[in-house]
Amino acid sequence: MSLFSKQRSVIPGFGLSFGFTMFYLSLIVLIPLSAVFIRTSGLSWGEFWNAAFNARELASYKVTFLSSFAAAGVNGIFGTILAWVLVRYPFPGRRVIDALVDLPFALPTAVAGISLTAIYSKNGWIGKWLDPEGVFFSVNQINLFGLKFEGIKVAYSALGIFVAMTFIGLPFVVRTLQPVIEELEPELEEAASTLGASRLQALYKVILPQLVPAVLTGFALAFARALGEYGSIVFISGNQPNKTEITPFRIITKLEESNAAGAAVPYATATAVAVVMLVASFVLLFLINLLQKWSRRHQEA
Amino acid sequence: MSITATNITKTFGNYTALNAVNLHVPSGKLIALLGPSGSGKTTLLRIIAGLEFADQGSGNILFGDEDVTNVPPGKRGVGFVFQHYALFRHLSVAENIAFGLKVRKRAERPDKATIAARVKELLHLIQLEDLGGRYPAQLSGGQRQRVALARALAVQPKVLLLDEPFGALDAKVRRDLRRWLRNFHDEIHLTTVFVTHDQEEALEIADEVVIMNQARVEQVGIPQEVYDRPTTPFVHKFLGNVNQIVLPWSGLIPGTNVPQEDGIAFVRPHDIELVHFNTGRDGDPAQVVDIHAAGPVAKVAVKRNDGKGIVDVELSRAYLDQIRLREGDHVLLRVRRPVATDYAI
Ligand SMILES: Nc1ncnc2c1ncn2[C@@H]1O[C@H](COP(=O)(O)OP(=O)(O)OP(=O)(O)O)[C@@H](O)[C@H]1O
Ligand SMILES: [Mg+2]
Repeated sequence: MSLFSKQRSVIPGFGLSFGFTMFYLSLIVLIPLSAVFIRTSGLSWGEFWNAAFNARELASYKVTFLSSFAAAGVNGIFGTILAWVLVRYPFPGRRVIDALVDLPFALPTAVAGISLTAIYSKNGWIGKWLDPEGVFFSVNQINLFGLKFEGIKVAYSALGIFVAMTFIGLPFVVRTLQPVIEELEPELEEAASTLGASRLQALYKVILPQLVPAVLTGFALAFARALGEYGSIVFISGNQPNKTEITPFRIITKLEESNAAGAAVPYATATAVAVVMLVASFVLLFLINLLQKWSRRHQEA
Repeated sequence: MSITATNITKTFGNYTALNAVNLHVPSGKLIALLGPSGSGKTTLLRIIAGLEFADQGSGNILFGDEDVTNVPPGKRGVGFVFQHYALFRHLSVAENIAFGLKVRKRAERPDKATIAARVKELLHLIQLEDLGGRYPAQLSGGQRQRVALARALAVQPKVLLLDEPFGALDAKVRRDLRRWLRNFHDEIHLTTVFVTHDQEEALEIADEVVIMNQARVEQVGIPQEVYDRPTTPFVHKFLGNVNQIVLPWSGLIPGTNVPQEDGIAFVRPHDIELVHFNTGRDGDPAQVVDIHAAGPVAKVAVKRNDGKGIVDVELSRAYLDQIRLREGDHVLLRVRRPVATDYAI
């Protein structure tokens, strides 16, 4: 059997549109991606290893992936609750809040980054109540059951990275879930209640299982976005070597270094890090995809 | 278990969906709630199920002798079937049916083998023995509705409530399922209330029909009774076709029907006798304007000579051929039996 059957397709001009799709995809996605690999292949194995797996790079992978994962996880939970509230409860100001959800999409990331830094730094609106050097903790101490609490640093710490990633990832989860929740008829909960299920049972036996595929999609989108995010993070992270440098920041640093030093294979150390990032993201997203497929098994007709 | 709803009023904002409604469903009967869209059928059914509550201070709901007005739906022992099935899409057919048993508290929950046996029995009952492993997305509409019914029956409810259970199905499947439901009811005699706005459906399978209109119950009776002896103009117009004949009209039976000076007589098209004018006898003189003779029953439109409108008459094809009726013929009309005239409205 040939790949494209000889039968006339329902879509007119299938050949043409398929050709255009492939051309467009190559131009926009595949060629730039392959350039990353081709550039990197100019390095010897040892050079590659040194560029991509030294201690500083490893630290950046760790903080980037862990923060992205945590941020996407938190968004997965609270984004779901937010979407639920926005769909199910008509409250005054719902439209305004609904519009606000898109803000992280629309705001230039640098603006978001600077705003977050300003808010969470030791003099900021929130930072001054949290930061160890802020107005509150610089004079007070909280003593809880013998545990001394001297404040937490948000700006210029891994926590700040997490906060920025949560901010930019939220709309992905909310916007993925809203249509799915709209489709969940209230009758499902009523059916569960007439069958004797408690509200809690209706929630975890009827509603949540039907939301899982969409939550996973939202999680994957938020996670992917957080991994690649640069603009809103570089200000709040503080970029301390081995601590709060995110991988995209390392890539840019390496580009600049390579420019300045006139390296043998220009940019190759930067693309080496990019390759690691790319492969790791791909594997993770692929796993999430498998999980999603499994959770959707009942939808196949 | 009988159901008694007394003086139920339900308002949504300032809209009254149910206005002091009373309903009694005798134990073991199949009752149809029939009425036009918006008349409050679903609202009444949901109040019986406990999915909705009647207005504060209005009446109560009894199951047998037990007052369940304030009992939550899960504790009332009702089986509820929704128009759009409301099956749990992420669960297989068997898991859907077992749901009500599995959510019980451990002390009341049957063991796994008992649940499996019960599911098997219900799958057999709804004639879907081999489809227990499928998901709802893989079933036809009629099959889904039967699964929804089995799921409701699994918890052995005291009453079964069905809200337009066949409303989303095509005509043929509807008819089959309707008969199936009637047979099923004859076997297990579970008190059942069944909402529909299809009069044919209601008249065919119900022991008793409750006709609702504009938040009120208009009439209650066995199907033949509500069809033959409607007590309100609404029921007359709602059930079957009816002529509204302006009085005075000489087609009424002398003696039994008091000829009114003015008012309206409600006469079904098949309750009117039609003969050629020259074959004599009494009746209302009129002229045939249209004959529609496709199918076993011929529909004839006749214009009254006194100019007070058109009367529809239904005749058998055999009779039509026998008297050789043509358009333009002069005829006499007469009712076959006493009819309701002039309701005090
Ligand atoms: N939750 C609600 N909020 C406001 N109005 C409602 C609500 N539920 C029902 N109504 C109104 O109450 C009236 C009766 O509704 P109900 O659903 O009982 O009608 P029905 O007889 O079942 O009609 P149908 O045959 O179309 O299903 C309708 O006018 C409807 O708009
Ligand atoms: Mg309804």
